[in-house]
Amino acid sequence: MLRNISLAALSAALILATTPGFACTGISLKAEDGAAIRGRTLEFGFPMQSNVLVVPAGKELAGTLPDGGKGLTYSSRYAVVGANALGLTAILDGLNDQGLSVGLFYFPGYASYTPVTAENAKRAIAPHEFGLWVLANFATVDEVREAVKDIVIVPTSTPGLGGAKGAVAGAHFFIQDKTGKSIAVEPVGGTLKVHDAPLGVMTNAPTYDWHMTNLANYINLSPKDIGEEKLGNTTVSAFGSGAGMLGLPGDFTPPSRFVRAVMFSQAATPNKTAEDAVLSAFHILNQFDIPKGSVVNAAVGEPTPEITEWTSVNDLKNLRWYFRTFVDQSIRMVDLKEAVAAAKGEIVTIPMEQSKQPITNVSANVTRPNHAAN
Amino acid sequence: MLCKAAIYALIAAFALAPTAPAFACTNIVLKAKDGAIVRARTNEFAIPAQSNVVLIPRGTELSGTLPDGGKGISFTARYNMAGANAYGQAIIVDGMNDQGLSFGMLLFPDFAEYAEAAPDNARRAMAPYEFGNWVLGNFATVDEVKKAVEDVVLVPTSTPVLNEVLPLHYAVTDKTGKSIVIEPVGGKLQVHDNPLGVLTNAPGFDWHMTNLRNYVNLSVNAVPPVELDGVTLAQLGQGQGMHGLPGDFTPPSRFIRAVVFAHAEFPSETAEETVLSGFHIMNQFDIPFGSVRDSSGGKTQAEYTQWTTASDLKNMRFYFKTYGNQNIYLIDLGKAFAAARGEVRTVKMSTEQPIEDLSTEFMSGKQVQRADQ
Repeated sequence: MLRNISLAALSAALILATTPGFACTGISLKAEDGAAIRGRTLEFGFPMQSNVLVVPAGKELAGTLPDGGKGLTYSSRYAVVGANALGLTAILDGLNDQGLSVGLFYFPGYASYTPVTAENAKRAIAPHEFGLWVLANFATVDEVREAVKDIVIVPTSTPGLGGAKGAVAGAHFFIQDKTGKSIAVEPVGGTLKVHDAPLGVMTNAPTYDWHMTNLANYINLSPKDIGEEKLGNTTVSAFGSGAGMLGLPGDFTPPSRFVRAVMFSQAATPNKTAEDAVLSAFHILNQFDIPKGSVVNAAVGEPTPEITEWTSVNDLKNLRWYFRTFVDQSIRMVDLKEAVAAAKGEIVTIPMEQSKQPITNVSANVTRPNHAAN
Repeated sequence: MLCKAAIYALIAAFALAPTAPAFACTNIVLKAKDGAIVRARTNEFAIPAQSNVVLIPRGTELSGTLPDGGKGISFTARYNMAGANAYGQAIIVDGMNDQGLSFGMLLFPDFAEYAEAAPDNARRAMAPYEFGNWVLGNFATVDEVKKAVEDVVLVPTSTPVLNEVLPLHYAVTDKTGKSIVIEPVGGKLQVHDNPLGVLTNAPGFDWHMTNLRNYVNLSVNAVPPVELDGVTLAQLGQGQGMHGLPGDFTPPSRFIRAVVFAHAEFPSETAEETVLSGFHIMNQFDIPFGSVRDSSGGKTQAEYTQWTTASDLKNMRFYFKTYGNQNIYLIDLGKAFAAARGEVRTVKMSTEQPIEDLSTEFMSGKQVQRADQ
């Protein structure tokens, strides 16, 4: 029997806490220097208390069964950096020292995990443990594609999710390696389904193949402007630039965000270097920075605005994890090699949200204008 | 005779320039719980406007420019004013004065119609790009501006550096939150009350306000499941109430999105929080580089958001960020004018992104434990 993590089940499980409404958007860019850049936003109905986790190679790690027992055990082969959640040794979004990266995305109503049995317990992990398992063990997307056949994801609660008791997170995963090769891994029907993800985009429900097919509804869209049309004796011209994108959906549902993410990342003018592409990725992800109040979750209790808790960008060439948060929109960065060297073999955390938004006061930086008086 | 600053005229004029301008701006107004008014806007242009913040102190002698280069209206600035300029000029494209009056010019192609310069109007005439300095240099409230615009005319004077008459309309908001839009139509300055505080570009403001009625179905709230003959259809994710919101960057679609996002906002407590909220909302209008391309000048250019500003009309602070540097900077008018010592001065708008390196900023054991709880 499969356990279907439906919206209804989640609502029931989280009835005492806030209902999570978790909307994430992932995009990919490639710089002219060959660097693969992967970025994403993370939204959630309540604070995920994420910090940057640094996990060196050689750590003993284990999967967790629904009853709290130990599942799959392994020793990490690669050093890992990325965002955790709720104080867990888990990665929601990050990369390893081989330039492989992973992102966990919410997948409500569709994620269905494998029931745990005596036979599969030794190769079982919890949904929130998948990201770290991928990054700790593999260097390329092809390796992951093979390896997912050997494990199962079982319906183990994520401690602290939605309240003290925790809840089973309905999730699917996006994986990209330093060549830019990408896959989406979806727990459907109790097995892990792998989809090629050549456009490098990921959002939420429904399944990946549905989103890819849905793109065919938007092949009319173009970043080019539209000139004028002559209709009989009447000339009709566009109001401004951007008319080629008329029909682009503007709402924040997962299908609409998928279409926008594909359009904006595909239309992006190539950047010379990895760092330029990182900054471009942050600009594109601004489009998915949900304005506070525009998506309101009123399923349980007081209406709460869904906000973008943080935005991250992985540079898979230079092994850097960049981020910013809702409170502090400045861009910050963790260099994997530096962080791992300084960690000296220990698992350490770097706080993501320590202060408020720094604002530089430049009032006194006055200079004589160049041509102001001509 | 009216002068129509049409897109065609712009194209013709730019045949000699390297590129054609395409400029799309989005303007919103937010109110904090403490009553502070914050006006925010983006500025897009296909060629770098080389903007910096210009400080124009009270007492500065200013004048309008006629199409033939002659002098139009003359006035002495009564108020200190600061804002983003373009091409090194002492011209405010977007800014505020020390009375908490805020001003933005936005492109209005195909619709801006200026008055013909004539001997009888020369003394009250100015160029379209000079209107911001006149508004901020002379007035403290929207009501004062409303009255005073009856006494001036905008004439088709070319903008320096661009050497072209820019088709513009204007957003003005005062510290009480009262907002108007001023549009040069039929050679006259039409004033529209702007209770929602939003402005984008063409067509005319009244068209946009009527167009909002096409979107009254939109809601920030989730949509409950629907049952049809035993089939239950539930939303795929949060945000279904907004299905139908247009996602493109044309002026009408940006107008709708700006109204929705600004008015759906959960009000913040203070002016500073509202400024930060304003920047989050304006992220929606940060055009991804490459997603809007303009080829009207014969060469394809990506139109992008060169800068975003937020004016805090309570605390007299002008905030900005640029395409190159997404960090937030501020100018406190009181401090800046003290430093300017009565002279016209500029403050650089940085275009290089500083990135904080946190690679070795580890938490102590105690902090980690706290995170685990």
